[in-house]
Amino acid sequence: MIPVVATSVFLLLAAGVYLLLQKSWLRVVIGLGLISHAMHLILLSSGRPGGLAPVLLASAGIEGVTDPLPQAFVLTAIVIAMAMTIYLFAAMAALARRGKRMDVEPVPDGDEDRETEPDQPGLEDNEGSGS
Amino acid sequence: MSLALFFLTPLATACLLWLWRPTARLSRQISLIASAVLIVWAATIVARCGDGEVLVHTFGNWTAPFGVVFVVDRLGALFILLQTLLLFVALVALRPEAHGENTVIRAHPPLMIATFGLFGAFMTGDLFNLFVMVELVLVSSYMLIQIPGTRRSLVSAIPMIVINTVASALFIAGLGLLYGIGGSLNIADLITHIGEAPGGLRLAALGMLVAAFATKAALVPLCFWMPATYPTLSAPVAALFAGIMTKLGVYALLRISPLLSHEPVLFTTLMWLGGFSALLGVLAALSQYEMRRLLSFHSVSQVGYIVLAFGLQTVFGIAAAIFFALHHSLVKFTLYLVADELERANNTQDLRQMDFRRPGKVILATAFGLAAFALAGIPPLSGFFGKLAVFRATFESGEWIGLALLILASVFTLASMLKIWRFAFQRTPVDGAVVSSSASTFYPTAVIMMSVLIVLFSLSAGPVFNYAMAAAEQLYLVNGLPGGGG
Repeated sequence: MIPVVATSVFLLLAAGVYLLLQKSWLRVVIGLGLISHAMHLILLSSGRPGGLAPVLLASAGIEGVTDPLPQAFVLTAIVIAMAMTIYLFAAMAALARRGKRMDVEPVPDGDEDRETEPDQPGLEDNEGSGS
Repeated sequence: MSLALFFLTPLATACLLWLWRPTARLSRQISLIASAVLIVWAATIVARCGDGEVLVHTFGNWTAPFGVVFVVDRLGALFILLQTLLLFVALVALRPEAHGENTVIRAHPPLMIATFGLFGAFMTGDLFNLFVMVELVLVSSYMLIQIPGTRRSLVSAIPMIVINTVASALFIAGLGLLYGIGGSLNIADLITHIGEAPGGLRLAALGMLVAAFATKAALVPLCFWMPATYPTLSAPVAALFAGIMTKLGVYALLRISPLLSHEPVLFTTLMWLGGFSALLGVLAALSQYEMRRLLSFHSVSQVGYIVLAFGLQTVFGIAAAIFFALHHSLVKFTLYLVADELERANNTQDLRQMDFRRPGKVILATAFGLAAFALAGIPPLSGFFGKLAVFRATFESGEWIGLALLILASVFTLASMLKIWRFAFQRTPVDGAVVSSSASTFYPTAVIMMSVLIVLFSLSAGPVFNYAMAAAEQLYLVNGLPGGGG
């Protein structure tokens, strides 16, 4: 099992890093998802068969039980990663709505855009009118 | 019991504000009352921990290695009190009249959620909970970033989120390896078991955790998300971020330092990273003209001091790091509040366009001078004691290059503060610059409160340092942290 997991982690991580270095934000976000899942696999594999299940004492003599704790960890971590990805996609959508290309660009410094684009409502107003 | 209630109060406040959606004024009053209660509560926690008592809360009465525990020792108590104080002042500074009704209404619930997450991070005795709480703080900070709703806030938020998510992924991987070799993520439990773990895996696991925390604390090669985002936030929120959120990474490092002591190479790495952060951060700050950007590069530099002292791997160094972290939070928070008032008075963040001839100038200049001198380390103020402790720790460890880096950084700190002073306060009006004397009103309350706090903190530097020293000793006294014994 371990070689399979290790290969998957390697492939996910390689693909994730490749995508992370692309110019389009959309690919970056997908790459982030892949990296997160590679890490989740690592966390999951730490509960390898033969690990100690914390709710069972060693004296109970029950063999071949997988440690359930990493699975609980991973569930939490997956939910968090999903929330981050959704947030990033929402940010992409807001960028697209403003007619911006979704490419990596330097963060503008100075507050010029404050004058040229005074507090554009963006996301919030569209949601407000819908409800 | 009371610990859990304390922890849940900000969450309850946030839910109340979200569900009820009161007016800006009302939601401000509710948050202020809640945070005032939290200050008193946190003060009692600090007092109780001061006697060496360690407060423990086991959720559902599951004992330590099995269930989730909250453990508050001196270190955690200090940071909790700091967070409540800064939250209160940030809420005072965030006014509907100054920052707009919508900003206030939108900012309060995420601020409360961030507080909830920070409390959780400062209280938890479990590394996985630490991860969850750090993520909670990050998510609420992402919400806060979008409040101004400008293009810049959108464009600058994405890199910050991407970098922090990569750091979180490293955190997760480190936790996975650590669980694999230690069989637990309870910190106290890990401390007792980590010594027997295989060396290579242990180094990899702890190295990933350190990289993740160094990113969150914004050390030099990993810091660039911070100066890009902080200028785009609404100012009191940015102040709170600069005051406490970078300290979250520092706190996490402090918390896992007994684990790191098995891998001294990580301490050495951190020491060098800290030294170069201190120097390069302040050099970057000197070249900036945007006030909050300058200040956030400064945070990189000051966090460098903290991490260098931490990396010396002595109890005195860790005490110095704790003290310096507290001092820097208060001072940097004040500077951001002053920057907020200056920005609103001048309608720009650019120092070159500032022309300050408005009411409140004297108060603002005094507060700025106080905070800037404290940051630079002029004797009667807290920065002097902080730097003295850090320098002494470095000196005692014989790290001459580190000491030289810190002293150089100190000189540049003073220079960069003088730069702000010269541009923002001392300049005579040039070529009849357009003075838009429009509705820029001055609200001195928050700034005055922080100035008083800095003076109080400076006066009580001795007792606070003793407390920090006791906290550092307690951190290393493994038996003082129950929760491992089960």
